[in-house]
Amino acid sequence: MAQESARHFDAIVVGSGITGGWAAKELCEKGLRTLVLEAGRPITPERDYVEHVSASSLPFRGMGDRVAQQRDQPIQKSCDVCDEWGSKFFVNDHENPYSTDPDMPFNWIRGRQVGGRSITWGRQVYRWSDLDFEANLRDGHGADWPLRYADLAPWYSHVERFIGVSGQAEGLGHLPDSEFLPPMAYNCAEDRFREAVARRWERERIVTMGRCAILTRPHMGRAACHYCGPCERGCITHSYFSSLGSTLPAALNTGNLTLRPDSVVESVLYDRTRGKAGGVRVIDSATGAVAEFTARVIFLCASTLESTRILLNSAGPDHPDGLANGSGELGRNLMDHYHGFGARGRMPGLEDRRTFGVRPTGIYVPRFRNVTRTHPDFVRGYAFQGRAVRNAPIKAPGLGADLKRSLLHDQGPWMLNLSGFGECLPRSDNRVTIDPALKDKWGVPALRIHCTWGPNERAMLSDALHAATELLETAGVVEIETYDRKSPPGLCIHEMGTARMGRDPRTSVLNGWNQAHEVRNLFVTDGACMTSSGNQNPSLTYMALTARACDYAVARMNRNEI
Amino acid sequence: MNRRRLLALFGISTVASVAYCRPAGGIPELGRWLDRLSIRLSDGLSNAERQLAAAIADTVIPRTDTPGAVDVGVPAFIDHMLAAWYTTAERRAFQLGLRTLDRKCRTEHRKAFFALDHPNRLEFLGTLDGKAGPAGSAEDAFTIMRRLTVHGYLTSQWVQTRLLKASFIPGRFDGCVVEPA
Repeated sequence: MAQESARHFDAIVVGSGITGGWAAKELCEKGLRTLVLEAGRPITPERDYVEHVSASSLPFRGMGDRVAQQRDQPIQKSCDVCDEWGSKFFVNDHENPYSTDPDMPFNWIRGRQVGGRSITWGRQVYRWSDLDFEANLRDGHGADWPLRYADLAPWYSHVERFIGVSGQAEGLGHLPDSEFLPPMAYNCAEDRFREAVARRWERERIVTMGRCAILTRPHMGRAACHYCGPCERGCITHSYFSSLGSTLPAALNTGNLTLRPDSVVESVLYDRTRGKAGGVRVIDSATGAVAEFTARVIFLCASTLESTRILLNSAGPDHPDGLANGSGELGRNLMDHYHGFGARGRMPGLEDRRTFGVRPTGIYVPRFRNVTRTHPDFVRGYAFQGRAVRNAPIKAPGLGADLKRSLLHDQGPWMLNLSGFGECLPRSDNRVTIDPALKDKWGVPALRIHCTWGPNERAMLSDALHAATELLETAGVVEIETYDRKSPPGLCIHEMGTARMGRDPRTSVLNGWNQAHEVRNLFVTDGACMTSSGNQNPSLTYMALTARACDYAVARMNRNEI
Repeated sequence: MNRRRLLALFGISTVASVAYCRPAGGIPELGRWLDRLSIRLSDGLSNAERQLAAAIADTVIPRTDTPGAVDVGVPAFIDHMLAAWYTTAERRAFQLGLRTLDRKCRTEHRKAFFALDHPNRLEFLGTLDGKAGPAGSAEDAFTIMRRLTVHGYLTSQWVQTRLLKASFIPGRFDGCVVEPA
């Protein structure tokens, strides 16, 4: 890696996760000397990835160090990936505090390391369509998106060709197909489910294979998936997409990348004389030493809430409420997906069938509400992700030799689960501010988060539970039970908004190119930019927006307009 | 504070105590000494409780033509979990539950659980299996024992590698393998 020769670069990218990696790759490949600042430590896959570590070699055999987690990660442990294997990829909650109202929890799940949360992400990737980009305009919630599907479609392709997306083309207008590698296979219970849904609903409701950034054949020098299962613990073969395994190496190959871990960005420095962002102030996470780096253009890719926190902490005489916040919208319209609800049951039969290998994606039921007809109770919609599995009946009564035989040989019945992801409306009072007193380990003022689910999300829930039951019944699933874990906002880990894009500088923070209306060399391309939340997993859209913004920024720089 | 270091010491003692409570018993004196030490240092189970727990584990998953729970080290895992995973209150409730269980056994079979033969142990535990009870009850202690025994057994290296033949490189996914009943 290039040594730091100076404190001035062409570009600074804050964050090395899924969007920071893309900004680094695109900017470096376009010839910009780029500094990537990562708050967390370096990660060496050969040493740090744990997907092939057996439970038998862990002190708590996979049940986690409950005492340590309760002490150090009381919030992070609410994410099921933060377990005995993967807890090291999640922050210490005491070092990284934030505040909420006592009765309004927001679970902020965070990863500070090179690669960010692209190491532990769910890898589901779905394009948005104009059903999503026109939604705010159509029903009047939030501001209108300053772009449409046609603007983003080529950038979706650009990203997909690099990351590798496996999936099945379905030709749905409201869930456009990606540039697909072959889809992964259904298991026999899912096949039966898919056929039953097709018989009853034809094209209105469909079941498709989960679209995921995991390779089903060798791609861009990376090996195909070997179906070990727990991608979220790392992937030594880089068969899943992560910035650590894909975009950062591509950036490094150009010779233009300087990657600086352990660098906590406190604020963006504002150059009053030129009316631009001058650079960033960085705290060394190990020594506490403060350094400043300057660049012609700055990309904030620190994650939704971190990027907004940096802007709020960059307040100055010219912008007392935070940088790029003349609209007063910075921090507002926080969204996540309504999650933790669904239905499950037993599919009788197929007892002589089992699976081999662990497929690291599930099945997907795309949104079917408010697509062609208007639902009377709510706007927008939801999708289901699910899978059918056979689990050994470890809780079934029985002891001794019988239990032993059952544990080793019984596969258990086929269980089919559908888990919902509901669109969350942008609401101005779901917002983050800087807590007047609370600071993190490095003395950086912490966020105060105020976020609740609204009436539209709740109205959607009852319909979704009914629809999930109906879907399962159609396939002959029995003993169906619905569930709603009353999951707090944040826990879906699809937090979005707080520095939204828009056409009007009076009502939005960023323009249609992810560029701050008020600071023309400042771009925010992570989830903070989102103007609405859709119901699709958002990372693919973040990546496409990032690549598009980089292209725009470099073109403007070349014309000396930035 | 020094809990981890103490537990490391405890880890050594559990090995000895397992050897001690097995009929072929390795080094009883050392085992007893380490047991006393470990109880004081780690808030773990007493020697009698450990013996009872091992006997229950051995009944839940006995040795057949393949090793049983005790053979694959489940008692040491249970010790470790009780000392380091459960809270003090949970552990005390479990210990109380073990005593309740043994008392119940003495009432119904006129013998300590440890003194029963395998069929009688199986029959007695069968009356508790699948039943929920309040903290401190025989049912609750058995529920914890069963869960830890099954988990410890299935995640033991022996079972993972020799019986389940767990592979981290399946290399392919097949969603529909036909397996005759």
